[in-house]
Amino acid sequence: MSSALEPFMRSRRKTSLTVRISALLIAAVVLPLLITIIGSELILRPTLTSQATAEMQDDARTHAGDIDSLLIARLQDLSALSQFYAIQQFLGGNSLYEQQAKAELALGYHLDPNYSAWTLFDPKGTLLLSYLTNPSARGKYQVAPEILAQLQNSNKTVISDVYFDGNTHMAFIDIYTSIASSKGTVVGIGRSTLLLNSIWTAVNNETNAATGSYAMVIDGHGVRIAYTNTDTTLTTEPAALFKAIAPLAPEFRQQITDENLYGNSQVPVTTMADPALVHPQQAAFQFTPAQEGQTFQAVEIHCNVVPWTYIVLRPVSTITGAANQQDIYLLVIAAIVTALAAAVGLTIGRRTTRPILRSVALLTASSESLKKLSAREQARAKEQKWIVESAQTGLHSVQYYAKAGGIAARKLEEIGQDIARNWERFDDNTRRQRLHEITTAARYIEKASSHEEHSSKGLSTAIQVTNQVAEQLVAGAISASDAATQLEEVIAQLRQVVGE
Amino acid sequence: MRLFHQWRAMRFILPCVFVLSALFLASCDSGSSTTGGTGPTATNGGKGCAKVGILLPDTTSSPRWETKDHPLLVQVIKAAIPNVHIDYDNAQNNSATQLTQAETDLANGDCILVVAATDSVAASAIVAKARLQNVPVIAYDRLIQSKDLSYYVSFDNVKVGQLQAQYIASHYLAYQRTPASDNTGIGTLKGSGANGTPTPNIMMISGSQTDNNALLFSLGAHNVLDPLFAASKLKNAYETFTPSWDINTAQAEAEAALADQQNNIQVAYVANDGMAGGVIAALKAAGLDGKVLVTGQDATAAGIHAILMGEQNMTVYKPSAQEAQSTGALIKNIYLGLSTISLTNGETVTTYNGGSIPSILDTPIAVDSGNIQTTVIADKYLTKTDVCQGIAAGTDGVC
Repeated sequence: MSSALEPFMRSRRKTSLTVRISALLIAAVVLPLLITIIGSELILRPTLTSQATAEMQDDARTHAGDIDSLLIARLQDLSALSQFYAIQQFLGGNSLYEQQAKAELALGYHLDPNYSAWTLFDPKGTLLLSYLTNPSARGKYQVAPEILAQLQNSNKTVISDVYFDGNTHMAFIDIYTSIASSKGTVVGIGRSTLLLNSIWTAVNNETNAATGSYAMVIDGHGVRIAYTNTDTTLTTEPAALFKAIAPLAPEFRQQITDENLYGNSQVPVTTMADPALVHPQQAAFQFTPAQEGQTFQAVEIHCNVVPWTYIVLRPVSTITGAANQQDIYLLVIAAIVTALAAAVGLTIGRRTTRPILRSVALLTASSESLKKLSAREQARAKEQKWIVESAQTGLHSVQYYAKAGGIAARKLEEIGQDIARNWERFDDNTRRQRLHEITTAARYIEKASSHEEHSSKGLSTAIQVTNQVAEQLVAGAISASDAATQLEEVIAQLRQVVGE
Repeated sequence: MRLFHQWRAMRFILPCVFVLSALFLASCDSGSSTTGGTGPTATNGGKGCAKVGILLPDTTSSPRWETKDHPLLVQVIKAAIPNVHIDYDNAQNNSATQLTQAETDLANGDCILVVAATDSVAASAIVAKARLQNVPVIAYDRLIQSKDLSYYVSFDNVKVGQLQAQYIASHYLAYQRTPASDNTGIGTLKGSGANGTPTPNIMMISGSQTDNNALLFSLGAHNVLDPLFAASKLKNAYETFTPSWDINTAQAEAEAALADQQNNIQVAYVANDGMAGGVIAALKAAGLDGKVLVTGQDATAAGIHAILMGEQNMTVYKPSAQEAQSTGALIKNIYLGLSTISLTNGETVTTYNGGSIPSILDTPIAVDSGNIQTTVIADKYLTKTDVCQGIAAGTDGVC
């Protein structure tokens, strides 16, 4: 094993296999969920926002298209009816056609249930004929001057700004067309008054699209002319209705007053600023509307027939609600599967480690017995060493005494030959001296023999002890063999665990 | 041992499982996918176009769409463009369906659209989408309210109303019923003409108010009838438009008018033959069939049959072949990249927003029992077999 891996392996050894299995299983089930949550943040939320935006765009486009269709159809009504012979004759001054002209106004009136009046004026804007009833003035005027000015040309149609009748709680617009004689001279003005009920209904129904969603229509002056009404009885108007999204120009404020636009005489038009709506850079954007405490996704679509903008708004929290919900579900699932994985990991880990632990216990026992055996072998080896050293000393002694005996014997031989050769020449003192030397040598030999015997006895003892030690070493070898057999069994058990 | 073996294997498999399951879950999360497809393809304004879409409005307002216009348009387009591929759809009176059909045609590469609009306003969306691909749209029979409309081929619809009303103006006196001549059992007729005779009452049952043509028919009719009304020679007793040109609605309207006027109705201005059938049913129920002047339009087999039966007085024959021929001529010039001025002769029709649409307005023909043979039969628009069932031989020289 390389030294670099040692700290890692050491740390792994500190963590039990059961814990590692559990951790891996938990990781196996939790990681995908975590990745999903991350994916949710990175992919799902933008996708949901994008989908909601597309849905809102469709919604807004449909409603803006409906407004266009409605107004085109109503322009078409007025344009066609204004060419009817009786109307043209009546406006041309032929009073015989008054009844039929009125009948044709009635015909126009019934073309759409949201018509509240059809009216004919002379070119100066004086009321001539009306169906169903004579309409009330628009502020100071029957026909506002700027509209009247535009209608001096033939084939001209004009759609007014929005009016509001506080008594009926209904908003309406006037659709005007200039009516020309066959010679092309403008002989009068036709006007149909159209209630905005269907547009208000569409705006009110926006709450059905999603929780917290609503809609509004802003006219070309920046005044909210339709706004989702949360009062289902429709007896009160939303606070933001007929409020400007930005301060209005003084000239237009004067026009509002003069023409009583937006029901100004009953509830004066004020500003409820929504700067984000003034000049949004994109058709879809996020902002916090006035009166709202949270961010909304907004989509706006401009109408083609009138300078109105249909805006659909939906709380961002609603749009991403599915993602939030999913995150909660995923966290709950993660918690449950973590617990399950931990339990399963614990079970698997325990079942896996049990034979290993058993083997470890056997290995530990074998190791202990080998340690004891090793200690005994060490002691016996010391004894044997000591015996060998003693035997060596004894052997040295025996060799020494054998050598000394040999020297003494050679001395005796030299003395004996010297006496035999010089027997006659030696005097008594010399003979006695030689005899003393012989005696001394004999004694030395006896003493050496005695020491040699003593050393031999020591050697004998050493040989005896060596035999005993050898027997013990044989016994130790048998014990080691037994321990090896035990280790083989442990290895076999471990192989059962880890496989071949 | 097996467990441990599996555990070792898991160490390699699990990372793969992580990645795959994460990818799977992430893909499930995304919740949306983009499908392949071709985006709009710009065409050359119809020049060299070999794929044409025909979109007709319904099968209920008049049988002409399926029995006449459909085969005639196919025929003239095939004659105009060699090896042309034609996509045909009928919207079944649903403007949303018609828009979807047009979108499909455009997606399929159709490079000229012929549209008889279900709703003249809603169909402007078709024009807008076609314009994005530079595909010319020919409004067939019904004007589409869009500045961007390429061409309009129809009959002079004001003229249609005028023909209907002119017939009334010429014949209504024959339907004045005096108390003596009134055999309905109702009693004395209300109103009084200038010469002391009762003023005949007319009920005017116009077409759908969402169809600009219906307003034009009504305009043409009023141009003729209004002087009679003003002079009290004819009384406009009941007038209404009929949503979707619905026959049952027309019948209900006639029944309401008859009830309102206590059956004192002498003339029924009915905008087309289909609705005339409903009105005739109402008149039959009131015992007034044949006693009330009834108009119609489209010269349908049922309408001509009703004329031969004496239940209806006239219809307006707008030779579909002529309208289809005009359309075919336009398509041919578009296909060849030629000017269409020689076909439109500078005639235009205006849309609500001031659009001036180059138009071919063919001339309609009033048909009554006197000219059935020389018009619809002679043109093979209808056959005797179509119109003579249950009619006595020799009737009006037709059967």
